Amino acid sequence: MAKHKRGPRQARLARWRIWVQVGFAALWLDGFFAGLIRLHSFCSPVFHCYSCPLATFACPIGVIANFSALHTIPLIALGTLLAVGAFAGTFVCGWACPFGFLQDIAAKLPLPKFALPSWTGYTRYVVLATLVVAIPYLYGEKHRLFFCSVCPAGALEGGLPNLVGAAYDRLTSPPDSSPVQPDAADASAAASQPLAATTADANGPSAQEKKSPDEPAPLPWLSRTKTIILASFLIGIFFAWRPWCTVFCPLGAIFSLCNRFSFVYLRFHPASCRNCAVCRSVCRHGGPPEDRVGDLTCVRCLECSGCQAVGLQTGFSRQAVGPSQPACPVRSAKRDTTA
Amino acid sequence: MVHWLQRVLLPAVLCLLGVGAVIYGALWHSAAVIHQEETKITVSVDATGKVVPPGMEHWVGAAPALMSGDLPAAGMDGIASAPGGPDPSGLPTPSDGMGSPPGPGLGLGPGFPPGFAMMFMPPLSKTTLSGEPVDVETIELETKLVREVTIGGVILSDGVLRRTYMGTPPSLCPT
Repeated sequence: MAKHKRGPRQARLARWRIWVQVGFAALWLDGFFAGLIRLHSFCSPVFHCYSCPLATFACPIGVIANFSALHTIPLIALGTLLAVGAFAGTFVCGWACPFGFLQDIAAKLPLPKFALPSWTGYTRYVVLATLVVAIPYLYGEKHRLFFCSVCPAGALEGGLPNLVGAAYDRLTSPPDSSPVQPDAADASAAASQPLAATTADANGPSAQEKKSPDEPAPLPWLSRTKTIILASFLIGIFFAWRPWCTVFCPLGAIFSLCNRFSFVYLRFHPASCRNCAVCRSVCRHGGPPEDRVGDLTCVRCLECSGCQAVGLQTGFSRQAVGPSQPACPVRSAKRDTTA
Repeated sequence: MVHWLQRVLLPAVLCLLGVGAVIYGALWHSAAVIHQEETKITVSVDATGKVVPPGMEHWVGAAPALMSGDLPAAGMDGIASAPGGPDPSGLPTPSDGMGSPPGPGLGLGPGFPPGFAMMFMPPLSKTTLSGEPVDVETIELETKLVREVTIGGVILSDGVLRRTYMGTPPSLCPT
C-alpha cells in the first residue's frame, strides 16, 4: 500500500478507527460494567447476537425476524435503524459493528486476499428479503432457514460460548451432583427445551432429550448447517476483506440504502483528483473512487480520505469543490459523486 | 436546494420518525399474549377432613336441620348437596365425597342449641387445591415482547401470540 501524506482532518481520524471499534465493542459486550447491564428490551444498531452471554442489547435483525414470525411490526428495531441510518449510514458498519471489527482484525493477517465481485453486494438484499422477512412471516421461526438458525454471529457469539460453558460445567461439577433441570439458569438447559429440538437441523446433531433423570443434560451442540456456515465465515474472513458485510449482512443492506441521504457522508471532488490512484490501492474493495464512494458496499472506513479529493462532509457543509488542483482530463468530465 | 433536501431535510425527518417509532414502541405499542396459569383454590377443611363449601364456614356445628343433610337455604351459592347437581363455583361436588355440608358425623344430635358446637370445634384449616391450567390473556408492551423473543418465549399459534413456557423463563434463545 503506497504511503501518502495525511492532510485532511478526516484522514487523521481514520487512524483512530480501530480504537473507536474497540470502544463500541466494549459497549455491545457490556465491558464497561462487567456484565451487569442487560437492556434486551432495546436494540443496538449493530450486528451482534443477543444470545451472547455479554450482549447488552438485542440484535435488530433477530428482533425483526422474530417479529416477522409473530406478524407484528417491530417499531423499536425499525425506528432504531432508521434513526441511526439516516444520520450516519454505513458509518455504523465501519466504525461500530463488532462483527465487522472481527473481520477487520482477521484481514490484517498477511494472507492473500481475494476481491469479491461487485454483484455480490446485492445478495444482502436477497438475504434480508427472504431469510429475515419472508421465510419467518410465512413459515415461522421453526423453519431451518429462519435467519437466527443460520446466523454465524449467533453461532460465534452465542452458540459456542454456550457450548463451552456447558462443557466446562460438566467437567467441573462433581460426579454425584444432581442432574441439571431443563428450566435451570444453566445455559445448556435451553437446548433441551421442546422448541429447540424443532429448530435444529434434521441432518445434524441436535440436543437430545434427557433419557433418564440421572443423566446430565446433553451438551448444546450447534446444528450442522450452522456449523458449516460458521466454518465458512471463519475461513473467509482471512482471505477476503469483510466477506460477511459485503455478501450476506442484512443490516448492512439496510444501512447502505441510507447512504444516499444520510446526514454524514463522503464526497468525491473530481476537480481535486490528480489521478494518482492511491485511493484505489487503499480501498479494500478497489475500483475508481468516484464509483467506490457511491458503492453500496462502502463501509466508510475513511481510508480513502487521505486524498484531498475525498472528503467527509455533513448536510451543513459548504458545497465547495475542494482544494484547487490541476484538472484531471479524465475525471473533469464526470459529475460530482457522493456516498 | 437539492442538497438541502437530500442531506438535511430528509435525514432529519427520517431521524425524527425513527426516534418517534422507538418512543411509541416503548410506551404504547402492545400486543395480546396468551399464557397458561395454574388455577389454585384455597378451601376450608373441617375437623373430619371434609371440605367446607365457601360461605358455609359459619354453619359448621350449627343448626340441627343441616345435620340431617337437608338442602341449605336458598341464596347460598356453591353448595350442591343434591347428588348430581351442578356446582356453579367449580368446587368438588358432594358426589366426590368432599362437598357435603356438615352432618351427623360431627357427633352432635338434636337438643343442642345452634352454635353450641362452635364453642368446641377446632378452627377450620385452609388447604390449596391445584386445578387445570387455564389460558390467560395479557396485554404486553413491545419492550417486553422484544425481551421475550430473545429467549424464544413467544410464538404465533393459531393466529394468537402464545407464551412457550410456564413459570421460570428459559435462559437463552433456542436457535
